[in-house]
Amino acid sequence: MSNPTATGRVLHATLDLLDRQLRDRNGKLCGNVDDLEITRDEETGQMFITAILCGPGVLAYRMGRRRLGRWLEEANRRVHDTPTHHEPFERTRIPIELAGQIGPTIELAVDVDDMATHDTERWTLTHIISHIPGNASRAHQ
Amino acid sequence: MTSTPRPRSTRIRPVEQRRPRRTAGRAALALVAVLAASCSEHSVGPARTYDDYERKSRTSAEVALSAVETVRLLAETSSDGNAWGAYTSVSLSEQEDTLAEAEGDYASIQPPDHRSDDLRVKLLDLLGTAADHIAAVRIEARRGNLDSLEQVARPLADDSAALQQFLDSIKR
Amino acid sequence: MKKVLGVALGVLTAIGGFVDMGDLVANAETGARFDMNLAWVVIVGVVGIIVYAEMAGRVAALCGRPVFDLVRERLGPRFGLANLLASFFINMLTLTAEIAGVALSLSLVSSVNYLFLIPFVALLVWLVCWRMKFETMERVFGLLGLCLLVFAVTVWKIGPDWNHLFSDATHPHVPHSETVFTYAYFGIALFGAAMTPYEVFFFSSGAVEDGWTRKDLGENKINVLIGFPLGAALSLAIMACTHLLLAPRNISVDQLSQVALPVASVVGRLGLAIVIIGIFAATFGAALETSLSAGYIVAQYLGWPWGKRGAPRTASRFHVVILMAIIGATLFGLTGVDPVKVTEYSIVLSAAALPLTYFPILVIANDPRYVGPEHTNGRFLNALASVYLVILLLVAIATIPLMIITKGGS
Repeated sequence: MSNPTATGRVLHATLDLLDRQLRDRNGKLCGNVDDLEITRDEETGQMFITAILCGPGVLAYRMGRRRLGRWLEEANRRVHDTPTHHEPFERTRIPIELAGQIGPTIELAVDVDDMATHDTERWTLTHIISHIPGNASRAHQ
Repeated sequence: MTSTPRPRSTRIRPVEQRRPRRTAGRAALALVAVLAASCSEHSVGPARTYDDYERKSRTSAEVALSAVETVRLLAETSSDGNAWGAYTSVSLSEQEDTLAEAEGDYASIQPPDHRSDDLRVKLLDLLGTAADHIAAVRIEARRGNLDSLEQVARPLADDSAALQQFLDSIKR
Repeated sequence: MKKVLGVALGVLTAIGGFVDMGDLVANAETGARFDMNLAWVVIVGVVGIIVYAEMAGRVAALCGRPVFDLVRERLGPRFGLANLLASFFINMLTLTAEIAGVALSLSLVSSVNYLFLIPFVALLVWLVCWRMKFETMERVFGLLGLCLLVFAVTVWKIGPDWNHLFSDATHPHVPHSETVFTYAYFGIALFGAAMTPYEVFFFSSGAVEDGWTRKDLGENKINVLIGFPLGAALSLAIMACTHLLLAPRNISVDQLSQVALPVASVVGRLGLAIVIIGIFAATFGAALETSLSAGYIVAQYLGWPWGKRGAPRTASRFHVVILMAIIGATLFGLTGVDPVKVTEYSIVLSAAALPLTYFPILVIANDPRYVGPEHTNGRFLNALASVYLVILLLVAIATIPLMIITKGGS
């Protein structure tokens, strides 16, 4: 891993990043910033945000509900039926380099389909919504 | 190929919040239990004193009076041609059920002493009579004779007066 | 001209959409038991909802996101979760009450027991949520709700002693037959019915669905400032009807059919038909709003895609939540639980949860990062809104004890 440089924006983690709405590269809603990964530089002792964490169970972990978090993770494992080359942990972890616009919403340079948070959306789509007629078109007058 | 392990050691996560949250959850459950218990209403709980029983008698009489008067108004409205069959019969059935429930609840309360027995006999008699008269109106309505409902409902005027008298006699 | 028509439509929709099962039950019951002595609560409630609905609409128009969406990021996930859980629970009670209300209104024209009609109504509600365009939905049920104006016609036709009516309303007192506790309890119920939380969530998300921008701020103000007071006047007409016709006969309201009785008695068959259409529209519209609110609050808290605008495929979890909420409410309603009792509990518990709902709105409407520096609350508005927050807190604290003391208002 490359050395985190001293440049970069100084943000207030809780005010500007945590719990913000995330959008993917196509502008689709893809979850909130459930947690942040902070790494400590061994030499300087400085702390840097290295990743955004978003996905099933992450918020539960953050709020101290470990068992609930683990349960949600497990449940999601069963729901995730699209093979991707990403490992489970990586799908809840988005390296901070991929975060673009940091403002009212945070734009990520990823596809929502690659994120763990989208698994249940895909599942409900294939198993429930697709079976109901009229799901593919916008509501008409 | 190697999976990146979750860097737990460097993740900063607050741990102390667990304890207060658990008690908050328990408090919420206790609150719901208290609510559910206390909001189940007046009639069917036991009455330990005469005053208690009198209060429950009052409540039941008021419910009955409301039902009787509603039926009278429905009969009048229907006879004037101001309501159609479905509305009248559904409303009448609702009032009949309300009265029956009040009667049943009241009858199941154990009167605490002999003074209460008198009250019980008197009120149950009134409730029974009113129920019969209301049933007559409902039967007539279901037969489609909406114009004659006011006639059939005439005895209810006496029931209403009797209930009102009963309530006045136990005024607190 | 088109603009005027648009504004008029908005106002009319606001009036017709103001009343729901909670308002019907609360105003009718109160009028029968307390005459006009609680009319002032309706006025206080409507001012409150005007203040906060304007704020919620402004936030939605200026930052393109509904208020609830912003609660988690502005006030933290714990507060957001508490808000979500409380609101969702109360929402389910309300949805059950509204669906039952629709079924009851249909039973009054068909003689079919309302329990059999509940599944049919639920299906209808879901179909509209699934397929009808948002704006169409709002307009149709809002305008049909104007049928409830027949309550005002009824009052006028009775020709009451207006002086007496107003003196009761302006000099409220606790009637001899009631205690101060039942008076307060019904006051809280009325207040909860006037300021129902789901209305604000729906209003706010609806503004985003309708694509409001800065240009719509003026229209938002007009809808809210004219529409809501007239809606409140409608509520008071319901109260006056039961006060004038049912109270003198010692009739207390415990069925929805009794709410329509004054109209039938005074205006006749046509009046009865109109009022039942109005009740149908009001409860159906409210059922739609509460179903959608269930979807909005869950999806927005968790960051899922949401909205009726796009095809259902694009927001599948959102639609699944709506479907499950409707199914849940249907099952609960089918247990035969008394719809009027469920309504009473939903409005009283709403009152208890009001601070949770309204506090974030005040915070966010004051935050220039969301509404821009020129559109934050003015000092007067903040003062007024803060006074209301204090009122809401007092109401919330008093609710549970009063519920216990009065044994649910009996």
